Amino acid sequence: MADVELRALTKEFPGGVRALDTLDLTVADGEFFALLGPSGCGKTTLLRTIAGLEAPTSGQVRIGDRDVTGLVPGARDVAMVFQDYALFPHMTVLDNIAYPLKIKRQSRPERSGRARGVGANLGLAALMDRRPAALSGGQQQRVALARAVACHPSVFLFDEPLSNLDARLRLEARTFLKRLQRELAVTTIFVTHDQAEALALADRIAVMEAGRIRQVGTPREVFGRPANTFVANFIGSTPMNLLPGVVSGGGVAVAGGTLTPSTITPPTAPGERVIVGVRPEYVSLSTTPVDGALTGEVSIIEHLGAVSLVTVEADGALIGATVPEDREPVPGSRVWLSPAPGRVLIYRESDGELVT
Amino acid sequence: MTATSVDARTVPAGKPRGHVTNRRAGVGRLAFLLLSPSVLVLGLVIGYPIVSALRISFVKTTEGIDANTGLITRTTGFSLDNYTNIFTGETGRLFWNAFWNTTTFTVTTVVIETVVGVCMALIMNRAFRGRGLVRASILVPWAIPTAISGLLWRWIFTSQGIANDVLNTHVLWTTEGIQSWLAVVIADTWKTAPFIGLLVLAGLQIIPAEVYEAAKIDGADAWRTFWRITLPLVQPALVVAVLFRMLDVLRMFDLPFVLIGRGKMSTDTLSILAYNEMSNLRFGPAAAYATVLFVYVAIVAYVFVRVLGADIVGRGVGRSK
Repeated sequence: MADVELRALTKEFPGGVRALDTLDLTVADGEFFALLGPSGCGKTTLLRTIAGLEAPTSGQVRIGDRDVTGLVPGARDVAMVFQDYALFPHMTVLDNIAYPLKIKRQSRPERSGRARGVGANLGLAALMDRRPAALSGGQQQRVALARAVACHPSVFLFDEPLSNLDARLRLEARTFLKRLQRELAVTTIFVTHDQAEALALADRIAVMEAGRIRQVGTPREVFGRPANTFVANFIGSTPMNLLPGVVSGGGVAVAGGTLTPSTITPPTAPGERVIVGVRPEYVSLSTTPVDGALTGEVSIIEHLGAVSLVTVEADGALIGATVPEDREPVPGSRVWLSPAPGRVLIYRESDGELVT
Repeated sequence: MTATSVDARTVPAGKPRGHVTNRRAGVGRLAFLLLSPSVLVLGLVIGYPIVSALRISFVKTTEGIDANTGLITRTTGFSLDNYTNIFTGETGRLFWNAFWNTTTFTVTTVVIETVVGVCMALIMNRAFRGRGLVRASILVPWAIPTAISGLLWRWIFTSQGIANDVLNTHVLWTTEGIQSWLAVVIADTWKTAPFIGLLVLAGLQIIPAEVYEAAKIDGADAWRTFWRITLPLVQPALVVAVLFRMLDVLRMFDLPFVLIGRGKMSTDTLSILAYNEMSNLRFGPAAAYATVLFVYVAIVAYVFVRVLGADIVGRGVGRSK
């Protein structure tokens, strides 16, 4: 059990690519922490640097009260689950799980007893004598987990462990993983490019872009109040509406209408160009005129199951709003959109940072 | 062929079963047609020579002068003499000597070449500056024809040669005795260790990097990683490489022939004995030697595949016990 602390961590690859740019981060003891970002943002490099598979160009990695920056991976007391599981193809499931214990020089009965116990907990009891090639993807994933669990590390490092599973199995594995982490209460750092996965699993999320952390927060914070337009764009299964607007006389002129102070807290400087962000889930749609609402014509309706995403064209801007199923408006008809109070976010246009 | 077509005709048409049999027969016929050219070629270049050599090895030619006419007579007939001669008397002594040489060459060179070849592969598998050059240079000895490298080493091993110069000795390497045997082993290792290196390298390159990283995180040191991860995973490729080399060395002829010369107790191999017989136009005994060697190679290959080959299949499939 230990916290993980990164201090001014920088990793520069030969050729000048900065995968990590003076990164500071603290992951609390027992926390389930997600590193989220598009591919190439440096999240995997960060995980590998914590594991010791990559050496940082500068900066420090601390696990617990130890500075592990110069230590080899085996001395860091971490366990890693790889994207492709990295099981040893020539060993049985039992030997795979027991291998780290063997390295730690536990006796044969001790380590196979422990491996069997962990394996049974993860539903692998009947598969202990098989080789990885004879297992399904989901089973292989559980073997990789069991291998990590059996060696009782102070930190788990997961590199997109669910990305090779099919959609249905991924949901099951997700729930399973969260329960397992709760039970073991081991600090866990988890890399994913899937924002839904990060929101579902993590206690806290760090959203990364180009080697930097753009926002750290709980899933609720990251989803509800993205710190900048990058995070706003990245988080959420339906993309957030990001509409250019201008601050004017106590409100914001946007999409042919004006959002008044009853729905937003306007930034101070009138005439400043801003970007108004509101999630489609927080926009209510009416087929009759509403005071202070934006108005436009329905252009597209997408069915998402229990809700539908309606795209409305309002003075050249496209605004999304979700409506319950069977409540979809007729395409081409005029509708009125009003954002929920307190759900409208204002970003500066210049740097994309959240104003209010 | 005829049997299947008759069978197909007797089954009532229109029934599903009849269709299946019919189609199967058709597929069988087509497969036979498509395969027959290769089978024919294989039969001509492999089957016929083997059968022919076997036949010759059992034929004995006796020449004599007819008492009545004074003409030379020549009779040929079936006989086991070619074989019994190999194992008896002076020829028997030469045969067992050559058998011993062939076997010791095989065991020694294959063991040394495997160790050296695996080391070469591990080096070539590393990423470092100038790797391409190292790979190419390691493979050079293998690309040189054996007769040429034999001459090369003969030059190195002459009494005033580089070998004696470097070692500061006066050994007559290319004459007779244990040093000649050693010279052949050295030259053969130099020549074919790259072959094992190349095959093992191919095996090393399909091991995913993640597996090594997993071992690293588990805390395995380099030595343990090699024995517990690398070697087992590269074993299928290694087994094939070793098998190829064993079959090759068992038939060794050119290197001792060029480097040392024939008629040496310390380096004559079974192939050289067969060559000796043949160059004296004694085709029967030559064929008998070749057949004995053929059987020996076949036995070694069979045992090797049974012992190690079965294990490869087991690993690949990943059976449950």
